[in-house]
Parts: sequence; C-alpha cells; structure tokens
Amino acid sequence: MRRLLEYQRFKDAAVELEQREMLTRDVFARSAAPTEEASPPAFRELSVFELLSALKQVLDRLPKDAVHEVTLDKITVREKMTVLLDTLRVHSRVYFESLFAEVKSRLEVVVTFLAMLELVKVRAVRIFQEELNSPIMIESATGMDEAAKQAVVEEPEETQDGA
Amino acid sequence: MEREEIRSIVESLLFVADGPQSLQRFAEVLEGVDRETIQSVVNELRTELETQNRGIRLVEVAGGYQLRTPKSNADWVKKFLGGRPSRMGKATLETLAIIAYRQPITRAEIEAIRGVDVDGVVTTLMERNLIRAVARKDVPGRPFLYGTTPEFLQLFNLKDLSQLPTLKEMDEISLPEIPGDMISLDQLEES
Repeated sequence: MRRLLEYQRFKDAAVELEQREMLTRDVFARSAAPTEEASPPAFRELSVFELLSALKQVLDRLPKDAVHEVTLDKITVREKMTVLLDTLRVHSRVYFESLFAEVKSRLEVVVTFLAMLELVKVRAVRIFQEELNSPIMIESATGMDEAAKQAVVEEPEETQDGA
Repeated sequence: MEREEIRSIVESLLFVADGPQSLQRFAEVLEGVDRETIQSVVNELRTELETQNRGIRLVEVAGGYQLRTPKSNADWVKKFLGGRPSRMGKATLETLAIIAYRQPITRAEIEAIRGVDVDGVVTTLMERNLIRAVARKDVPGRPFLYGTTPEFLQLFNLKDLSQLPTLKEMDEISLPEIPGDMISLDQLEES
C-alpha cells in the first residue's frame, strides 16, 4: 500500500510536469543553426602534484580554526559529489577554486576534494586547465552517458542495494 | 558603452544563441559591462516582449535565458514546422518524474518504486538526452546513478530543479478509486 502511494506521488508529479509549457509542444525555440566548427581550445591535463598544490592553497587560505573543533553536521563525500554534479548540470564548467568558496572547515575541504577525485575516477568529470598556471577547471565529462547506455544493455541484472 | 547599445547586443546574442545562455556568458562577451547592467537590460527586453504581446518571449530556463514563442501561437508554429507532434508516453513521463525528484538514483531504485522493469524507458530517456548517468553508486556491482540533464529543464520550462512542482505529501494522495488498482496501474504502463 505504501509503495502504491509512493508511486502515486510520482504519477501525480508526472501529470503536473506534462501540464507545463513543454518545448516543441507548447513553445518553440530556434533550432540550432549549423555553424563553422569552432576549433576546441587545447587543454592540458593536470598532474596529481599540481592538484595537490592547488588543494594546499585552498587549505592555507582557511583560517586556522580551533584545534579540536567538533563539527556536528556530517558531510559525506556522496553529498559533495551530488552538489558538484548539480552545479555542473547548470554550468558545464566551474573553477576549481569556486568549489571551495563556501567551505567552512578543513574537513569539508578534504571531503570536497575527495568527492571531486571520486567523480574523476568514475569519469563523470574532467579536470584541466587551458595552459600552465591558468585557473584549474572542472567540467562534466561526456562519454559517461555512452558508458551507461552500454551498461543498460550489458547488465540486465542490477544489484539490489535497497538504499 | 551606451545602455541602448548593450541592450541591442544582448538581443542579438539571444537571437543567434543555441540554447539558454547565462548572464555570465553575456558578461564574458561584453567585457567590462557589469552583471547588474546585463541583468537589467535582459529584464527590459523580457518586459518589452511581454507587454507588446510579441511573437517571441524571453524566458528564463535551465540556468539561462532563451527566446521562445508564446504558447498562444503554438498551433501556428506547429503547422508551419510540420513534423509529428512529440508526445511522451505515460511510462516514460513517470520514470522521468521519479528520476527528477529522486536523483541521483539507480535503475533498481526506480524499479522499486514503479514495480516494473525500466531498462527500455531509461534507454529512451538517455537517447533523448533527458537523463544521464552522473556517477556510479558505491555498492556492490557499482550501478549507475542517473540524474536529469539541462535538456530536461529546457523541455519542461524550468529554471532549475528547485522549480519542480512540489511533491504531494503522502496523506494528500488519493489513489484512483477503481477496484483492483494493480491491474489498472499495469494497464497504464503503455499508453
């Protein structure tokens, strides 16, 4: 019964979504015009050392807080990953620096950094800079979708995680 | 730069733009013009198109601004463009809603809510670029976690995810009053 109700919530939400002004049904925008292919700027990849020194800069800038301040609100790497992905969904790239703009503790810096590395590992994001010493950028990686489509075909059995 | 000139340039950029453009993007092009000025000329343009009942409107969508036709002209535009109306099936729409509200979410988790296999629907949604795999869940098997794309926001005319209609609370939900709900739910799958 509970599951039915839960499902009904989404059915209702789907109905509401469908009543919105849908693109190419209710409203229209210009379709993409063919343009001269802009040559993609050459980006360089960063070494781990450069990343670590960028991390150190962020940490150095934080005020040296009380030695053993107990942070009560737990921040997980998972949450930080979601936040980062949300940001990248709206802005396709962000500055490395800006990830730490609102970070309050050293722990949070580290968690954010780990979240970023985790996303690199699963190829959801790429880290690069335009040239040596220019700001480090994070962008959402293409190719993830491709990999996932493959997975839909290849792994019909999905692990139940119950989360 | 004169304000009039800025306004004119922003309008041109909106016209040639492919997809919604952020204020940041305009600021990058119009070097030296501050964000506030850009925001205010954008607002002006929007109001002007609105009050003069023009055939294009400036809409804030998917984290940016885009020129779109008003809904009142939909039939004419459709007739002009021809082509088939793109309708989204119930199953597709419901799965999309689940992903939108519960992202990032795995296929198994979607299936737990819908009670049926969603492989086909997930593939369709990915092909239409409305969802994407955003990461892998850190559980055995490392299943993909799916989330919505900017195209999803564009399709439903949403500024961002916070603009999604609020999900009703459980106690506000009433199930359709048909005996044998399960059967009717299944029948609704493909329509």
